[in-house]
Amino acid sequence: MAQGHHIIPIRTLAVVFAVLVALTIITVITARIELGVANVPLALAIAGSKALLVAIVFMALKYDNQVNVLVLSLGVLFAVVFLSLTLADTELRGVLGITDAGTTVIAVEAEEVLQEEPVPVAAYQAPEEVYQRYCITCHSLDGTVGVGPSLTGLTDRQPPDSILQSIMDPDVIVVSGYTGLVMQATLNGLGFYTNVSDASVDSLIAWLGDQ
Amino acid sequence: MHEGSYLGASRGLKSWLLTTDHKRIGILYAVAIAAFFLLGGILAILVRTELTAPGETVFGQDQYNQLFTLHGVVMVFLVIIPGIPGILGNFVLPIQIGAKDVAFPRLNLASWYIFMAGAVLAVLGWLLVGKVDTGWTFYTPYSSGASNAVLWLTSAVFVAGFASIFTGLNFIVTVHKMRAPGMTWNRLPLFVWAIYATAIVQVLATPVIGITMVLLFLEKLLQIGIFDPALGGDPVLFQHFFWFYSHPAVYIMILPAMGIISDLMGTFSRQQVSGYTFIALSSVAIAFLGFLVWGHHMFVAGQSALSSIIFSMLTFLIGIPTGIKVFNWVATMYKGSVWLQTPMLYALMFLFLFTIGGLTGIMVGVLAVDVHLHDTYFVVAHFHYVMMGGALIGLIGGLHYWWPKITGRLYNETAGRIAAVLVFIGFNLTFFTQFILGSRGMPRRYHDYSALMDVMPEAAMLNLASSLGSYILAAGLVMILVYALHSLFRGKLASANPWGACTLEWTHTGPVPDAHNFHETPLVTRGPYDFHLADDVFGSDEEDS
Amino acid sequence: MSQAAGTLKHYFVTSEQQFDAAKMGMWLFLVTEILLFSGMFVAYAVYRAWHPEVFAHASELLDWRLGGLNTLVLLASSFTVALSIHFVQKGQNRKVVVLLLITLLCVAIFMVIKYFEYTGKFAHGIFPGAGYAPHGEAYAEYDIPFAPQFFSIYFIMTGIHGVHVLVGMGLFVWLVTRVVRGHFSSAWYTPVELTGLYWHLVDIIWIFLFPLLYLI
Repeated sequence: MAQGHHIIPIRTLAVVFAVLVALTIITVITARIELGVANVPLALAIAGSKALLVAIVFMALKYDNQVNVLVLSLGVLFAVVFLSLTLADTELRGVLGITDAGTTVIAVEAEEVLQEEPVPVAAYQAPEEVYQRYCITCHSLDGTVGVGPSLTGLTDRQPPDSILQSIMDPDVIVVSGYTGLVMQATLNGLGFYTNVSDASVDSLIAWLGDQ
Repeated sequence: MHEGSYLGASRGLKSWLLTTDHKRIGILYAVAIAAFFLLGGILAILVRTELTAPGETVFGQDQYNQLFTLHGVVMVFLVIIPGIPGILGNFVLPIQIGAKDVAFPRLNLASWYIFMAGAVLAVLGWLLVGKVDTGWTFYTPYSSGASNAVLWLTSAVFVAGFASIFTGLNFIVTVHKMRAPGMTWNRLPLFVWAIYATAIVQVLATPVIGITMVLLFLEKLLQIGIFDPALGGDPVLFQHFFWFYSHPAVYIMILPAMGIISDLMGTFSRQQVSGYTFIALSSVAIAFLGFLVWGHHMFVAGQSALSSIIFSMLTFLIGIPTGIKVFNWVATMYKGSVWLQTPMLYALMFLFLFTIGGLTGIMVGVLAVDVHLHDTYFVVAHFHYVMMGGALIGLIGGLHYWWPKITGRLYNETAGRIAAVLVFIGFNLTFFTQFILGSRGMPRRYHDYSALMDVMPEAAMLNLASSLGSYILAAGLVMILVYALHSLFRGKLASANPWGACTLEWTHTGPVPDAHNFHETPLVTRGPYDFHLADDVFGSDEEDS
Repeated sequence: MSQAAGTLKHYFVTSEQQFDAAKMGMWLFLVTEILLFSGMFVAYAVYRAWHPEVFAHASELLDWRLGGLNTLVLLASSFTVALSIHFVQKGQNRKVVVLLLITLLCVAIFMVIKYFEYTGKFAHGIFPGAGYAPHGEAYAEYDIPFAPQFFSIYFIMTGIHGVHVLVGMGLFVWLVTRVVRGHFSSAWYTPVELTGLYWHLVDIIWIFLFPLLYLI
């Protein structure tokens, strides 16, 4: 006998077959009963037991060289790795801060702290003060041409919205004869955009209309 | 030619195309892969030529996209992945464990034909349909929206994948069941360990790229809506599928090279390889850990934050077994007396280039860093340092090492050393400049970088240097081809063991092995790097011949 | 013994080694099959987890009676294959032929049922992919988002499984002709054993497909 291998008795094979049929019937019946969340795990458990039975007895793993058991286990293990690490992404995608420990939690806490802290609002400043501090270097109120055009009668030439734009984003429209980029750079350097509140800018525009 | 060798056992083209001899199959792979390497190399030169100067120099955008796609596909799937297992694994592994052949010789031949069929499909697709510009990763929705040539290329990858599976399967069974008496697991040469670990990865990972390509094929053909976002599919899911194979595939590429380097370090340091067990087991460890890190390719693809963190941490783990190998190689040289023959030059080159490639790999494995470097030339440089500086340099070193055994002839040592220096200089000039370009933000896959010149005026100079480097590299490689051909026809006849190595292919076969490898099955009584017994071995070998 | 010696390849030392190698090779091949199918199971799991109600609803369209019947047929074929190995080990080749023919019958029944299932779906416009356009009574209500994904996955999984069944069918025909020609004995029956392993795996995959697609 070159292949003195274990011959599995017919009786064993028949019993296994009977159990497999029985499990099939059970899985059909249980699937038709509403068990809520238990349906899926139960069906998978039954399928898993059936597969194990086939592998151990029909495929004779029980009597086989152990290395083949190892081979099969590795294959199944890596299929499970593939499944679980992929699901770890697809199920949690877009959810931030789901870890119990570590950096994500710290980041979330930091974010919460930031949200509780009221955003500092710059105090209201009178338009004259604003003008003296930020504008007068370049824009006169008496018609003299400086680095920039004079602001006399500004509201006759531009509607308030347009003036606002010219302050907040000066380079969109540059009056011919003047250099662009200068105003925004200067205002940035003086901290105009961070230190002057919206209300102050509005009153500045209104005040300019009276000059 | 030596009498009674496997080369002279039978003659004619048919005896080669229908051979089941593992050594001849190894040579079939060598010829095919050399041709693909030439093709991929020419494409690379064309890509670099386009980038010599800003602006459109030679090719338009579409042509450029096709060039780098084809370069990537050819080099990855037709050269590097099958390279070392196909050529050297086939030739050397059975002899090293004292077997007459692999466990399934006909399957082995079939693998070569399947591999060739895959290659033919890829080339046919390119010639008949043309225009694949997805990059070698076939990301959806590029690929699901691209031309039908993608169908050809995905089928090619699918088919070539089976060749890889069958080769891996063959090697695993061969190592388990065909070892000569006395060849215990702890006497296996480290090259065998590396190929064995690689084979595990091939068998476990390649089927997934198979099903991925099937699904992509169906996505394109029937619009099944699994990957294509336009149909409610999820493109990121494709990336999971793709990288579950393709990251382990990086280890399919690098592990065999590490095995070659271990053998070279032992032989040319005349020294028991330090930490044998650690090197052997670290190969297996890398093989397994390699399966757990695929998500680090997807940090910026929109996967979940938790996944990114897990994958980033697992990626660091890979550095441990890799580090173990590098330290042990250095220790082997430190304790031994180093003999700087051409193969050893490549081993040292590997050590240098791969360390750079590996360390930059850790850098881009850091989640926070990768977000910035992703899709820049930094990544391009990183994977060329690993794939070319690691895998291909390992292959070239191995080919030099086993050349006398394969052909029975020696090559010109001086020419070998000059070529090695050219390759080293050319390689570093080509790719180190790309690290600089990438870290300054030059994105990959653009044929025209003139828009970059405003913010990065040095880009022109660096790109020109990189292109010049690629020409030097090409010159070195052409030189290897020339002296190899010269050696084949005019080279000096080699002795059975010109390097004084201690593994079975050197100690127990003639200058060129017989058709069935050994006169009689060797009885192994020593470890693979037992150099203090080397004199006995060589003495008995001379009596035989 | 002479037969065993005749089948021993020159590169093996003993026929025991040859048999072990062949069997291990087969197991490795089965592992690649498992991983091949794992890709489809992953796609199924991901889409099921994203759209559980759609999948539950769409799976009602598959007839659990036909699926269940096919499960039993495949289990029976696995049983007869296991029995055929039992008898080939005892050298009773006539019984082996009969059992393999019964197996073939089971395989044929499986494919016929599958054929009716597929054509029944096609008739109502249930196609994989872009062709999905359900029409007719009780079918039109399945024209909902992500139902096409369910049916695509259903057709791909059962389709690729079906291809494996067809391959198995071919293998059984081949085995029958070899048994009849007296190629196997209790000393050498490797092809029967290996085909058996392959067939059991095909059965195991269906064991999972049935509940996932038809029941839950």
